[in-house]
Amino acid sequence: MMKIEKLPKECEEYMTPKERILGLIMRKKLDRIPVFPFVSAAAAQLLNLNYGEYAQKPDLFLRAQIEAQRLFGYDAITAMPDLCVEAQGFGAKIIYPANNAAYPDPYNPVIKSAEEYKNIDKLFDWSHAERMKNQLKVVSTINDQLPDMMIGGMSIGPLGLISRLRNVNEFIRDLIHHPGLIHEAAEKITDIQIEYIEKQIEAGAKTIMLPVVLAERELMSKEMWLEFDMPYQQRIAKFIKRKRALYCVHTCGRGPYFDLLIEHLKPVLIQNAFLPDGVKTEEEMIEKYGKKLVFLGFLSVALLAWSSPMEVIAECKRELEVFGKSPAGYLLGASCEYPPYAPLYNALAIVKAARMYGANFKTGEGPNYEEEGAT
Amino acid sequence: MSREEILEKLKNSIIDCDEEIAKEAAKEALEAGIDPMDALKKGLYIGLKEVCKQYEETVFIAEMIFATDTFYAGSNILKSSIDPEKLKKNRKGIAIIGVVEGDIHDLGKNMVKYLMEAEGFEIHDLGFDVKAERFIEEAERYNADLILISLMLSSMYPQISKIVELAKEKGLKAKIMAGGGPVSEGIAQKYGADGWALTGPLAVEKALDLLK
Repeated sequence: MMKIEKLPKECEEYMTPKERILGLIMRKKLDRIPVFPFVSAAAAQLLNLNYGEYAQKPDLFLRAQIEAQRLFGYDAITAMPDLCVEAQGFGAKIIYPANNAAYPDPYNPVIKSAEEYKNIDKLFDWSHAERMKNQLKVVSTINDQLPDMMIGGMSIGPLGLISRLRNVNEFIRDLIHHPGLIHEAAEKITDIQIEYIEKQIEAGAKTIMLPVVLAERELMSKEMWLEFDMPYQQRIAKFIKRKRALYCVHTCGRGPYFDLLIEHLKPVLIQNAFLPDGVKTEEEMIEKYGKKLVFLGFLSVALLAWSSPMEVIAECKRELEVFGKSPAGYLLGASCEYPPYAPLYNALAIVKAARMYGANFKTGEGPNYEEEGAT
Repeated sequence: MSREEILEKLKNSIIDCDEEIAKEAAKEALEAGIDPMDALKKGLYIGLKEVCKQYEETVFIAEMIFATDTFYAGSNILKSSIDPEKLKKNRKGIAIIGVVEGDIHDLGKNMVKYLMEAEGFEIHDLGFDVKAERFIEEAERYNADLILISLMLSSMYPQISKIVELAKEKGLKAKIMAGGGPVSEGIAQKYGADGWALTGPLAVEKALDLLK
């Protein structure tokens, strides 16, 4: 791992987080590169809460999110405590472990047989979707209290939600044995998710992030993704763009299909943990896709969890050197959610690295833009 | 139908992921007097190996699950006619498999389990959210040759070393493998595992290699 002997001075900041991120996309000169460590459940540490409490108490969740941003100074918040917010609205029994992210009870799935997909929309009711309603309040309150922040909304996407209401192993079998029923369910769920996304945008979300984790070589063929997931993700993508929010996608498995995501969904930004399908190096990733979308990452969650702040700073410096001049832009950050248990000093280290090594940043040009002696 | 044609039908049933054909061909094999162990090894198993070779090229997790489902459909019929002693004699080893405490992602674990069973391992599946102590108890109980640890959350890396340490304390003979989304060869080594593999099919190869 790269070592740093002496830390340089941090830059003076003169932009708000929102100006910084929009400036990145519009190719303006920035005071520094924007930063998104994706601190979500990890913020619970600031209030000495366990994750179960944190995920179930929106007021505490909100306080922790706001305090974390004020303390660390990063540029975007995607406020979602876990990936089961929408599942609860469909009646899933959610288990809240003290030491990890919440998950739907795997022994008691909401959808017990493929036939039940037909009535999936009837399971949902806003009157009992407490977690979704709480999320809307969280977005709205952060928008009021941190008006200069880039606030992100999120939806787990149609098939992501179906897999949480069924059981992931059975869901995969259903894709082959009951494709028509899966399509029927996905169509209905997409309508509900679009409504939820619209409410998040109305509440103040400026970006909407969708996981597209099925578009990965690790999980599905390209043909299967195009058949089962793409049509619904595309409907959502088009809706978000019509609503003038920034549409971002997240992948975290091996070999994400960047080519298909760009062709069919056209996200502004992609967050990925592994190199895209058919790509062997980071340089090749930039060459192939760097003109088409903003990269977010590429700090691994293992690094954030198990490395020292100096190692994190060194890796940020390395990544800035590699990705800094990517033509459509680069946002320094975690490749997935900041691990809930990881020490928060590493989130601070990322912001410090941006201030030290990402000053005077401009998309396509990298840091030190128009500085005397800049390289 | 000749013996060769039936074995070919068994093999192709796996490649085509066709459970009905696998069952039909398994029954035909028994009716034709083909040794069920031969039908298993030279028919179904060959098909599964071909599917594994294409993993992440033309075959993905979904297809692997269907291929192993098909394998089970055919092999259950064949195994009912195999002398249990013969099955035991052909066993490649005994393995304990589970997802570590605090983690419920079992898709990858299940794929490795299916492939290991198809390979001829006796597998004891502990499910998910399994305490380190339970891995050890079960490995002791079955005198396991392998402990297969699966995890999807990097927060759970220390569970690998916990299992490794407990196994050492108990003096277990079992080799320990760790795998799953975030686990790399370096991570597996760092936390003391004997082996690691990137994919399910490679995990089977590594397991066989460790037991040589």
